[in-house]
Amino acid sequence: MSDALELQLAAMVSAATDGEVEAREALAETDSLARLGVGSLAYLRLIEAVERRYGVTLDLEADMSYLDTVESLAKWLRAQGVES
Amino acid sequence: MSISLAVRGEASGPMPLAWGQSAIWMAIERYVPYDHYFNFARTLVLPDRVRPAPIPQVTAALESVVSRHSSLRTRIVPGHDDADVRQLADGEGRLPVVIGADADSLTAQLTAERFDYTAEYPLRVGLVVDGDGKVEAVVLAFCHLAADGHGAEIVVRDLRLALLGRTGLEPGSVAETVAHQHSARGRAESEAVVGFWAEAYRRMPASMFPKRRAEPQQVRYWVARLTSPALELAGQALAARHRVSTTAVLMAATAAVVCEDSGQPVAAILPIVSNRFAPEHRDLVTTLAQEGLFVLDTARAGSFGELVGLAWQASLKAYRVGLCDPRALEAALARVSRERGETVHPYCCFNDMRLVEPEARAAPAERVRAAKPLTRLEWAPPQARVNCRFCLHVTSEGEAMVLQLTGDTAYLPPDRLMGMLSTLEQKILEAVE
Repeated sequence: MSDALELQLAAMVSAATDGEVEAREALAETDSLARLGVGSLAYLRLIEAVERRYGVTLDLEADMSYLDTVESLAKWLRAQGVES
Repeated sequence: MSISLAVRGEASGPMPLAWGQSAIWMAIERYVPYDHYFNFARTLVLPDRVRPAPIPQVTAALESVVSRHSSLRTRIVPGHDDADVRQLADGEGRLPVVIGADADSLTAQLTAERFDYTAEYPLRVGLVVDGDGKVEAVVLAFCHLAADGHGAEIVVRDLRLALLGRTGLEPGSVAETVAHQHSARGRAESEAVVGFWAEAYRRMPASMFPKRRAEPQQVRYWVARLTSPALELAGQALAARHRVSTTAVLMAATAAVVCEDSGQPVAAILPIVSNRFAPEHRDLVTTLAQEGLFVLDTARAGSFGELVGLAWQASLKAYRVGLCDPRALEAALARVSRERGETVHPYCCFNDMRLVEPEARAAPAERVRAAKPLTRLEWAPPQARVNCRFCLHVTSEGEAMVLQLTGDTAYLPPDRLMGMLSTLEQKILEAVE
């Protein structure tokens, strides 16, 4: 079951791709959002939107695999203390 | 026949330049009197439904676009000093329109001369008219202070919509962007980015092209151009395979080629960043594009595939550090050079000018191989002054990817320059096999 944070993030993925990727597709993807066609422009928009909405700074120095899926990003954000 | 547009709209300013404008202003100052180099043009062939159109219908559409986008009626306030350049958007004025018979000659005519930044609007307009005096196309020549490539595309889109009697999305506000950038929060954002650059400059190689190798050619900066359908296919295939963008594939190959040339493992490249990731910047007509900083240790990768993965990560980082006050950045980097006792500057830039990232499609290796004989490698006209040693521009032409490499012949003599483009293509093609 997806929680509220994951639903929000999936909607943000969809917005970052101008709707090319639907929120439900983003939620269902368990391997890599890039597989759905989330390219660098969309990732940069998503990072910008996530940072603004949740007041965090995404760490691009370390292993970035937490950006792979909605689930992994939600998990990373929760570890930073973010609630939906 | 002499015609002009009525310029109307909300006046704003005088106010400082936005960061992206400052960056291009600093470049313009370095290029004077060759600053027409930065002029660029777009042609809009009128939509079928209204082509050909009477001149008043087209000028009315142009007037609505100039009214919507304040940057198109903005001039530099005269009498500025170098560190405090101010701009002012006019509420009313006239903008001359040139009539011509074909788009190519109008483009050449409208971009040939440098803009008079304090007296002239930063847009020159030409109408391509047919034998009956009706308009077939509009040529828009931009001063780079008013728009970058994305900004110009928005102007063209809005002009098209206006001709069809429609209105585009609400554009952002340059005045709000300027206000934010000069606020305490904006300055703090800039300082964080400048800090990232300074830290990287302390550690990276002083230049990607440290060795002067030859007497420069008479016209010093030579331009090699590679047009390759095979590279387009191979770039997409690798992007699909490694789940990255074709830009990351190209940056990986560029880093590899540059490092091989200099014999050092760490590549430092300045990619041009669109800076349009935040919603308020997406539809803003101004110059937002600035340099980012891409640093990649090629020795960390065991294969080209691994290098592509690392380049993807490095490119995301690079594209996050494009938005800052360029004068503060310049001062901070000059301090680093003094600390190190040598000039630190990559002299290596990368500009992916494609507005739409092509979809990554898995092309089989045999299709790439079959397309290889279509590759063309040729010289384009050289440039008198370029403030770099290696400038790679990526565009597309039909089914082909086009790489244009401008090099300083004192550091990259002609043979080497052309060789680098071939090697770059070869690396990507071979990686598909």
